[in-house]
Amino acid sequence: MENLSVDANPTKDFFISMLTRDIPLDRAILDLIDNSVDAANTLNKDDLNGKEIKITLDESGFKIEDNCGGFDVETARLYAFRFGRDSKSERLTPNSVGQFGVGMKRTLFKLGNNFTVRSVFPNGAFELTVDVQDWLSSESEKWEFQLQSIEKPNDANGTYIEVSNLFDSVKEQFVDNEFLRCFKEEVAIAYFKRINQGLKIYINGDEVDLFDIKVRQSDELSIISLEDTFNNVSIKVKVGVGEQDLHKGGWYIVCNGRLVESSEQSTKTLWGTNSIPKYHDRFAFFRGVVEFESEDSSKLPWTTTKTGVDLDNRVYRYANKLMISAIEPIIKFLNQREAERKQAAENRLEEEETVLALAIRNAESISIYQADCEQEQFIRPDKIEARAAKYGSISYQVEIDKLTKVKEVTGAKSASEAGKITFDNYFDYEC
Amino acid sequence: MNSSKKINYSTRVAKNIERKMLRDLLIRFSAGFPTNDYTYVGFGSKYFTDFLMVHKYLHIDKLISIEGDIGNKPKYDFNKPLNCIDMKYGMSTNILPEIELDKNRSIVWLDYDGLLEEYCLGDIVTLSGELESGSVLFVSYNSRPPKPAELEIEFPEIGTQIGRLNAYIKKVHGESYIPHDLELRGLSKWENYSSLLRMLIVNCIEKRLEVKNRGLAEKVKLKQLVNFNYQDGCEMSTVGFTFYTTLEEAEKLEQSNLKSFDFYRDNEVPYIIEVPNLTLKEVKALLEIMPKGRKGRKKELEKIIPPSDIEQFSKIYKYLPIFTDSELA
Repeated sequence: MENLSVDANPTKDFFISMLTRDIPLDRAILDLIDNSVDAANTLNKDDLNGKEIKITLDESGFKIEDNCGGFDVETARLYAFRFGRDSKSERLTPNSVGQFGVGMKRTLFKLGNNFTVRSVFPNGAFELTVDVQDWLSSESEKWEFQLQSIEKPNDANGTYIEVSNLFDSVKEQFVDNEFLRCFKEEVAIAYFKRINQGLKIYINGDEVDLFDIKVRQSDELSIISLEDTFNNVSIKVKVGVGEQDLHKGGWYIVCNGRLVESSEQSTKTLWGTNSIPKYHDRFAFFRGVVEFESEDSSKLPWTTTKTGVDLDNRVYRYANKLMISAIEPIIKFLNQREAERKQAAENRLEEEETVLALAIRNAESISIYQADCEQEQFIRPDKIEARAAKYGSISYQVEIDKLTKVKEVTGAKSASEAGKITFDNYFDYEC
Repeated sequence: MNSSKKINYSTRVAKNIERKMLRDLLIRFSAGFPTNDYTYVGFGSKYFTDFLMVHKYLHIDKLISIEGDIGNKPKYDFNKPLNCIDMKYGMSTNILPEIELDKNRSIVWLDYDGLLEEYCLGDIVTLSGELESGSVLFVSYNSRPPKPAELEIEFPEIGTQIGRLNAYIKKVHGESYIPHDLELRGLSKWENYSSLLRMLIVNCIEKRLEVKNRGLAEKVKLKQLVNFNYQDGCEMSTVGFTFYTTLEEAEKLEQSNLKSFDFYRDNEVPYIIEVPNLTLKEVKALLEIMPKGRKGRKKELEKIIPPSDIEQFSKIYKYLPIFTDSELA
């Protein structure tokens, strides 16, 4: 018998095409913003005032530049340009959002044929330029990029990335107004916590708006705030009652400051499971935020594309307990508010007796991050019992011939009128 | 319909027997888990029969009665037989989450008059998340399967009997805990239908326990104690469970030897409470050959009382109530 060895090494072409396929363009760009945010975070985790990320997208190219500190040659050599992360090497950035070791490369390869990365860090600067076609066709056994130290410019410490010779599909999207509008919204949502902390992000010169999750708070209406730690991941759950908005209601899930699920309304966040009702317009008042923080970002319950929560993650499954305890009182409150609305429509409650609706209306709308975070119990008014219904309704079906005859005899113009006349007749003679 | 307008429970024979069986079960249970510190939560209606029972036999002083008939508060307050009964007015779904059940072991009896509707399962889920280890939960409900003719009237737009039954089950019990591979054939039989309802209850308790247990070193476990089917005019069922956590608790449960009651059930096979229709004289004659009598005597009695009635009597005679007409006032 003869043993033959078979070459199983991936080709660069195959590897790059697989790598770049799984992620939509907008999400890929977020990976680059993640790197800038991580860099800013290492300088000061709680205050990002003065930190700026500027992104330019147009037909001629893509640029992202920041003043967030840059990264040094060592980081570039060992981590930043390496495909995947070596599990043996120590992680450099605690509480980071970039974690799978694919983000930056994947994006650069997805955008265009030529890219330059320049980093200015406290004791130096370097630049790396790649022509992707040349790199793919080079025959060398080892996959490597050439990095050059450059003279430190006068600019603030930060990273500058430029991609030119964009691929056609990328160019098309960069000039599409709708893409730009959606992208801007997505950036606002994904980094809402960081923007809240002072970070400024500009897209084609326009500052990205502050997106906020607002809840109503007053002396008689509170949020619920629960905290726990599992497997060294801190879990904070905050829920409350906000505006009735079908699109904004639901859960928001944040991992190390990065929003990975926004207004989630499906079974992923337990709607319609575990005795929690399905999401419905009466629950459009509900706002919930689950925040996971960990020094080791690999423990966080997010998917590799950071486009969602990893349902099988143990930390997330543990957090479900807190989510259930937090949402149940709010569900009950909102169910009662719905019943109250119907009772008011039936004149069984006066306007001033709709205390639940009034509590929502009279409370102040504030950012969920400014709401009282020590509040474990839900403060809410007790509902007022409605008066017994004065009217009941009856609905039944009869043969159409008989109904026609009753309408003829009574002169009723409609089926309901015929029903009313026959009921009154029975009542007068038999009751 | 509110239960206060229905028949007095204390004259419902099967229910009466069931209550006394639960009493005996709990007395034996209290050997391992002293119940005098427990909280009892039930739906007392205006007779409070179960409240008197747990107070007298289990020495429970913390008694909470949930009453949904808010319009007749004075009536219930007047009929409350013990000072230590705390009346909570409102629907169980609203009241249960407000009772602090996680501070104290409890015995809870959700004695629904009607069908096991979705909100009842919601109550059970709430309790499963809250009840302390060592607590006991009983649930009673109407387990009568719907009749084909009723389903035809209720769902005229659905063409098949199986389709109508499926729609009915989802409408009444909700969709959350119904098994995805539900076998719809045979469900017009009471035994099969009550078995389905028991499974819904077990599913919803276990689902919530699974969530509660996440991340806990010592998991809370469920043990079924009773599974009764009985008829007092309409088909009813009662299932009962206890929750335990530690090895010590498991051992205590084992040592209390609840198994030796012939009505003890830890599985899906129900214990059926059937009451033979006997005269006082017949009862006396049968008592004389209990638990075991002369063969000849039994043969003689079999000429008067059908053997199946004698068999039934031998199972429940310790609990059989004898009603007489008496004028107390």
